[in-house]
Amino acid sequence: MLARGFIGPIGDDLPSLIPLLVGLVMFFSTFTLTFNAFDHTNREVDNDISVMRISRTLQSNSYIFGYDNFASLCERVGTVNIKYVAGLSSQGTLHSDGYENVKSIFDVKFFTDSENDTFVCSNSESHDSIDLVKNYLSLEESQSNTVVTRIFPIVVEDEKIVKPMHLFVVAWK
Amino acid sequence: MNQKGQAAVTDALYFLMIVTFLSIFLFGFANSYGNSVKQQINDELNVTFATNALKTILYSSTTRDPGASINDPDAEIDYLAAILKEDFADDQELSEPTRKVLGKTISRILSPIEDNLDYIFIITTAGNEAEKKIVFMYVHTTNFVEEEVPISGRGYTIYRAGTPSHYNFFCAIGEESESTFDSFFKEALTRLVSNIGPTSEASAKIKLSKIASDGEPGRVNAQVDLIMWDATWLGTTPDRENGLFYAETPLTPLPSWNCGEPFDPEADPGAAD
Repeated sequence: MLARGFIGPIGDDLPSLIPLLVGLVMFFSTFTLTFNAFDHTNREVDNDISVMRISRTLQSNSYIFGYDNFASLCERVGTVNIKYVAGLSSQGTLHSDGYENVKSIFDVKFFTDSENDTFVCSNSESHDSIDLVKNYLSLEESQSNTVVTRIFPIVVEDEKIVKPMHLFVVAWK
Repeated sequence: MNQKGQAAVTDALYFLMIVTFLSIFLFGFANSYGNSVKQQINDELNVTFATNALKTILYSSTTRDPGASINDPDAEIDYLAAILKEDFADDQELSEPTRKVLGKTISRILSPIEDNLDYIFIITTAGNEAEKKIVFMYVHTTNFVEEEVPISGRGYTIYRAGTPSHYNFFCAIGEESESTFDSFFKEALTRLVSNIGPTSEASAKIKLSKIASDGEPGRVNAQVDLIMWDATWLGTTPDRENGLFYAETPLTPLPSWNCGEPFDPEADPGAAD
């Protein structure tokens, strides 16, 4: 009677294999998801910390005495594990000067002082003129990268006038 | 043999149950991992922005003529803080042109966050209760429009951005007795700040000048505060009978705030760079 239902060592345990396999698939799926989320978050935090490091160095005490001061702060940024372009722009603060109020980060134009020095700092090559963000990172290039943007108010002394501006930091990886 | 098979299925179900709990734990961990660090980074950014904005406002130069541009070679340019001191010295109040120049500077410096955050910029004189006074108050608030969602029995309300998207007001103006630090701080301002959720704040001490009745110059200790918060509805709600800054519409602040007409920093002809 018992032997009639016997279909072999594996066949007899077949019903128990189904929940075992479901459990294993569920576990490894969740494990992969968790690992990916963990990795993604770590990369995001690393990028944020790198951008914060660049921003803090360039901000200094929120008062830039001139281009030489900005250039020395730029040198202090050193090596970072992310591509970036950072610079000062007066578009948001002095846009009665003929500039249009900036609507996109790619249209940001960096400030050029009375001695024709452009306040820009980058570890990436510009495709064209150095005073536009889109010459370092275009909208198309940004689609395939993780882009982090930060903006901070700052003042710059130019011709003995203390001009309010914004420090733009755009980083991508 | 049947009993052995039943035992194996039971073991497998126990295994499945353990794996399910483990998966739920891992899933929860994956969802919440890094949230507190991201929140801390965001808070740090907001506080740094507020601190830098305050420094930038206080360090900035501006033209003495409110209609001139800072890049005009013939314009007489001075520090904004110096113009404030000079205007304050004679009658311990800021005139309308000075308020507009200051309001415009504040709006432009804080323009990167104006769509996401609302803010208040306040200058108060220090001292004993009688001497404390609000010298300047500038409020930036999002123009939310309240709309009832037509679902019967639900009572949902949504707040969407109206046109214009923001309003700026000079507040604590008018009668001196109505704009004392005491009446504002203890009632309206404290109530607002304690009900708007997390804020990012920056403060700085400054010194203003005053000319006494005998003509002798004197110093007045003052404090500048910038308070920013996530843009939110500040009017009445079913749980809040009295609004925080306005009742029904952001265009009409509560009378206790003593605000003037809305100020458009980009349209007002009397307040250029």
